[in-house]
Amino acid sequence: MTGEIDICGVFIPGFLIALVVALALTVLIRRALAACGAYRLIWRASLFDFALAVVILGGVTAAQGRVPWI
Amino acid sequence: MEVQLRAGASPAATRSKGGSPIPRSLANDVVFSAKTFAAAMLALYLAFSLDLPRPYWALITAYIVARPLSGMMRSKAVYRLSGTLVGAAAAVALTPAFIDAPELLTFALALWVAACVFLSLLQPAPRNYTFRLSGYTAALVGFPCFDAPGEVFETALARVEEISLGAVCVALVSELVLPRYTGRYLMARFDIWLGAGARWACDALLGRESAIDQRRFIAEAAGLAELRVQAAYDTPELRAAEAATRTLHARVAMLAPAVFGLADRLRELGPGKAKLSPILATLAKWLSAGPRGAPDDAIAIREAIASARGAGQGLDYAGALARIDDLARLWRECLILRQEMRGRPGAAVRRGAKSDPPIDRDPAMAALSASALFAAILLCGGVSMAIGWQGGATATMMAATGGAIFAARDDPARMTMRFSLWTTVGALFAGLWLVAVMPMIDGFPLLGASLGLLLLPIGLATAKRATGASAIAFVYGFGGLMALQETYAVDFAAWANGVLSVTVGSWTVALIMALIRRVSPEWAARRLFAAGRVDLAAIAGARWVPQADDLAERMFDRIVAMGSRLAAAEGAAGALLDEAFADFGASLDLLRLRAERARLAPPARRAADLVLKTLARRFAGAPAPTLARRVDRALRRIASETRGDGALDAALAFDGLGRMALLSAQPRQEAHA
Repeated sequence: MTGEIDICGVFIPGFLIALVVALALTVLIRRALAACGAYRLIWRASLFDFALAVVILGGVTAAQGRVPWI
Repeated sequence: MEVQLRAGASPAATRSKGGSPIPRSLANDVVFSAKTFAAAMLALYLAFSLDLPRPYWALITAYIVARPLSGMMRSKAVYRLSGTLVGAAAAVALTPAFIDAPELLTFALALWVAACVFLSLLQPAPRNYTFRLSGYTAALVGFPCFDAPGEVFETALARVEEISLGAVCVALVSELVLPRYTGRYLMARFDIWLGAGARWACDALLGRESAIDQRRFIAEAAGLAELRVQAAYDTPELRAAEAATRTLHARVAMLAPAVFGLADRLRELGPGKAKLSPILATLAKWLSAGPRGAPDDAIAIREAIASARGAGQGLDYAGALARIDDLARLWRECLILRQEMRGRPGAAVRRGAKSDPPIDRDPAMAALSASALFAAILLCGGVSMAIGWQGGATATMMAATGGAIFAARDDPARMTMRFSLWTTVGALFAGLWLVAVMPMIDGFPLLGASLGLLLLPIGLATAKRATGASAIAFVYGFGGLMALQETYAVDFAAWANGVLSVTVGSWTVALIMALIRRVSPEWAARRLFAAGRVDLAAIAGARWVPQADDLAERMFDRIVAMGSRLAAAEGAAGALLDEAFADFGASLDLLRLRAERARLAPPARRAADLVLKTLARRFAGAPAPTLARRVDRALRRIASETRGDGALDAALAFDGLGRMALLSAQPRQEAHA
């Protein structure tokens, strides 16, 4: 996953892409959870959100390079 | 969820005209200071390890964004990020375009700052911060690059990076470690406000209301609209109940004309009042339970009112009953909405469509502020360019920043001076620091520990409303000079030049602001009052048909803004508030009459239209000597020629309107001075 991705001549670190993807996924999952009312059962929403974001970012970086289309 | 919080209950709570303060204690302050410091150190450490060019900017941002309550901080962080992005982009766009003509560049930057300040003054808080910030970020990035125009992109990038870093660090620390939520404070504030309203209403019912009741009710409403926005950031339940909260805000505001009108009625009633006293006593008892009262107690009271009706006591009596019924209905709605806001929906309360917060815009004042700032920036930039002063760019930058930050105040000069004073003190400290402390420091742990000695006590001061701005100015001056030292080797001359330019810049803008922009609180209050009259004229002339809730919020916002300015005023200025209340009541009666007008028989409708036309002229400032006669005639027409419920409603609206209008149309000598 190291190395840079070339977008129209601008080199962007792969990690930045991972961050953007993870952010988008986190927002989607958060919306879904909120729609199910899961946040009523969660003690501290911001702590949960942060942990969720870290887990998803970890997943995305792990998948990078192994899954061909990421 | 019920927060025990009454005005002045906590000894540490600072009293001010801005409503009940956030409950504070030494422990809370210490935790807040420690959290801010931890966030600042995290930001500083990350900035150092990422080799960012101006690590101390991240530290300054941490202190600027930090707020004791999570939602306040989160909204500020978001607005700061977006403002910085726009401002930095503007600087990057403007600077290369005028690279060969610093005069034109100064002009363009001044124009940009002034335009942003103008727009920010037309926006509600807290969103207006974005506009202010995009104004002075362009100045912060653009002016220092006069000597080295090639660096503008690097400077802009550095600023965006550093500010994002600082804001994100504060958000993380403040959310994850012992967060305190704005939502709870908002609910407590609404309870205090409702309590103040109930107390005022109670006193009015028992015939012992005083100006203090009224002033307290106004003072407790200050800043609630801003708080509502901030609370939505940290309390998802409140975001879901946004419509209820908004309606509650408007309905509590409507208590003011209801109580004011009722008190006026009861005073006029005379002997008929004895028949009402059992109802008044029951209602007062229910009200004295404050926000914890049961909404359904209203049913019995309103039944009693309905059975007391039709006793043939004339319009005065019917009017008083109608006002009492209004008050009972309003208070019931307030109690239901309060529960709904806390996630316990009760009976449905009718409400208007959702719309934008109806804030009061004053483009003329905004334009005046913006042009004063424009003049100050041009003066500062022009003079320093003419004498070829090295620090001139910094001075101009400081003028733009100080002027933009305090543009919304009635007296921006005083705030700017105080800000510059504490910035200078901060810069002096930084000078001492660089000479005495920095040489001994090798490594981040030692740097952090030594900064902690200085910044932890400063953090305590930022938690207090009275000292907060000065403390932040101190950090701004301190960090600003430390930031310089990162890029240039600071010698005494550079340091002295820096301090001098900060002082010159702030003094210039303070002077210009004092000359052009300063207004007396009383003048500002009169201006708000006049704006209310313009609205009344528009409603009376059918040029504007607002929702009742929106209108109530708008009229009451003005009264709150007037109240904070007239907090210490007596005599004629204090009477202005009474007139504003009368106008508030008149505006709602006008709206009611407009709605009932269609149901009147043609002759009565013609008489009503005549009164409305006279009122529109009267509110527009023209004398209307025939007003009282016309109201009388219209009332007689309605009483004689119409039957049915609608007629009574219209007659009451009319009568109330007539009283309010007459009350607020009393000739005033000093009004047009």
